[in-house]
Amino acid sequence: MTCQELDLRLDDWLDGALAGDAAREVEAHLAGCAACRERERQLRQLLAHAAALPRSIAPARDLWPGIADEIGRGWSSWLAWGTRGFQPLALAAAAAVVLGVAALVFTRIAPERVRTVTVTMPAASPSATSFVSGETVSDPELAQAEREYEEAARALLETLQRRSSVLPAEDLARVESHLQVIDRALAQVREALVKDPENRELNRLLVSTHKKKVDVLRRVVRLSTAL
Amino acid sequence: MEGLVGVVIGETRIAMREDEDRRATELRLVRQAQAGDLVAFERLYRENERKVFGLCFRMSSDPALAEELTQEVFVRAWRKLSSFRGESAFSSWLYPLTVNVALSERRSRRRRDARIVATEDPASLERAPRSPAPEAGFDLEKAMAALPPGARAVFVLHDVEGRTHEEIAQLLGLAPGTSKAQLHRARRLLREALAS
Amino acid sequence: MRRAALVLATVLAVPAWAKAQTTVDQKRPAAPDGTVSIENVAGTIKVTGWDKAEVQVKGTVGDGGELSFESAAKSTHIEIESDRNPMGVKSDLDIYVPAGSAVEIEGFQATITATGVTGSVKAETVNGSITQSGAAKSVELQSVNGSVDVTKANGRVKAESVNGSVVLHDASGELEASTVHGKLHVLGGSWQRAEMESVAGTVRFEAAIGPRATVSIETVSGAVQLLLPAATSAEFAVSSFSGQITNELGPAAQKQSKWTPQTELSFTTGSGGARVTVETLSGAIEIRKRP
Repeated sequence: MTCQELDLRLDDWLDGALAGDAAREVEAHLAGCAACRERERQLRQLLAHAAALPRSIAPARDLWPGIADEIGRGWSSWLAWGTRGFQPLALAAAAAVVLGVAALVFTRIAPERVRTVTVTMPAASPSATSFVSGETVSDPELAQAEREYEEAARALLETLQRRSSVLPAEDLARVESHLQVIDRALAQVREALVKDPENRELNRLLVSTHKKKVDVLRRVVRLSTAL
Repeated sequence: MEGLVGVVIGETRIAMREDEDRRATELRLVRQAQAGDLVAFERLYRENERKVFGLCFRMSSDPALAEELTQEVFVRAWRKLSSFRGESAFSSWLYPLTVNVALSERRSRRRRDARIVATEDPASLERAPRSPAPEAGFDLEKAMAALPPGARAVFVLHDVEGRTHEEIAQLLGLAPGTSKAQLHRARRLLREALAS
Repeated sequence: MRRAALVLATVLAVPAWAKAQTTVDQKRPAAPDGTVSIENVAGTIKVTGWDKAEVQVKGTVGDGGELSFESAAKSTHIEIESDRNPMGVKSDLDIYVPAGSAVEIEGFQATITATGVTGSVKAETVNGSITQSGAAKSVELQSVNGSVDVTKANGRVKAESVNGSVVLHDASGELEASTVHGKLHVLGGSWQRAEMESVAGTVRFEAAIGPRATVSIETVSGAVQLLLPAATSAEFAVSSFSGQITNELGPAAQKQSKWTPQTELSFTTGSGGARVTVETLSGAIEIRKRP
């Protein structure tokens, strides 16, 4: 057996995969060859160190949030469509859940300066009692829900603007123009509510239009996280 | 002598029962996760993250990439969860999936986002997992990082993880002869690197 | 000599994933009712249901992209992966799946077509249309700038677009449909439940409804055209804040108070049973007999 041949057999021999005669041949060569014995020693040392390497290693940071976020992408729209009847508690819950979604979608990147979509409101009207900064309706709970929806929409739009390096500018522009259609509609509904604040249908319409805005944003943000 | 045998048998019984309990608990968690319970899946994740990350790190020699790969493994595991029947331990079921993901150096576009986050945080590039290996071990890790990926994969699976060539051939989609050849190459390169 | 052979063998054993391909044609066995999930950011995704227990992927993968095709016992995953901005990697995939599969498709700049899948179809894209046809039991299609077309689905149907239109042909079951400014047309079929919403798009419902069906249509400024068979038995509640209401099936709408322009209408046709609700802010509402 030459040293070259031994080199090829050494692995199998050390792994215990060589039978009878072949194993004896290896042992015989090793007995008479110092160079090969040295190679064998180095190999044994390598294998000992390899076997001693820890196989369970803790990552430096908690990876679960990233996993949960990615899994969450697969959820289909679980917010119930259209709120039937104006129920303040249900509204607050829906808004809270919407915010939760926005937070889920938001990455750990610190937010940049935000370009908010502003809506001009009609001037104060006779029935106005608690218009705040010209953007709310008179019912405080509805106003609160509106604020929460707007906040969620803002957070989502921010995320989209943040992705401007991968999201084509025209897509962002198109999304913003869709939002303007919705904002114009919201303004119309608010205007009507000024004339008829107790109107159940209008209240419902306001909420579902807000929801639509958040849904559109949420969908585009989610699909853009793939980029 | 008899007393010692009794103790060994007793301890083995306890160990087997603990093992069964663990498997039963695990199976329960899997069923819950299969029904959509993310909290149950998180527990499965916690119990298996270190082994999965360990394997991903060994196969890629890159802690940041190993983090991404680990996340990818569990996301895919969630999606394929319905195919786990409980015939083996959950960690055994995860194993081929982990190897598969670790081999795919081509990054899924989904992970692009995570990478953007990671590189914006300069500290993350310096982070290395805690690896309590002796100094010789550390040199070995450096040498492993320099191996060609195919050879490194076989070396990790055979000499670090202790798999057989038949298992490795199946995991990597190679002929057993190729697995042996890759191992030979890896050992030779490592031996030469460490001897110098 | 042996060493050279060994080296050659090592070099030849390159794993499949390392090869780049432009044209693809791959097949794998698949459960007749498994999940098939497909992701392609840009290009086209065409899915056809067939009666083989196999998934086949044909087509072309864009430069810089690579096909990832994996399967487990009951799920198959097909994805175009790339190491650059995926928007620049345009791939056209022609995929055949067992007809009973649950298909999930995701794209961004992608047009999606699903034909002959009877299991379920879930598809989402941003810039691209989605066209589905076949008696799928569950359909969920969402686009932003593209149209959504559903033909002959029978079961749960969910269809949404923002800027594009949503049109259903001869589909039946339970519907949730919504647009922002695209038109929303439901033509034909018979519905047990239908919820339609639009902000500024026109909603046209020209179909039959079941005896205990609930139908609701809501818009802000979009017009509503409701055409029902003359024999429909239902209770109607119709209101618009400032839009005009035209009713061929019953009485005329009444103004509710002198302070607001709101008009409302409640009436019953036949023996009642089904419930139809229509509400708009300023969109005109027309209720007519279906010819």
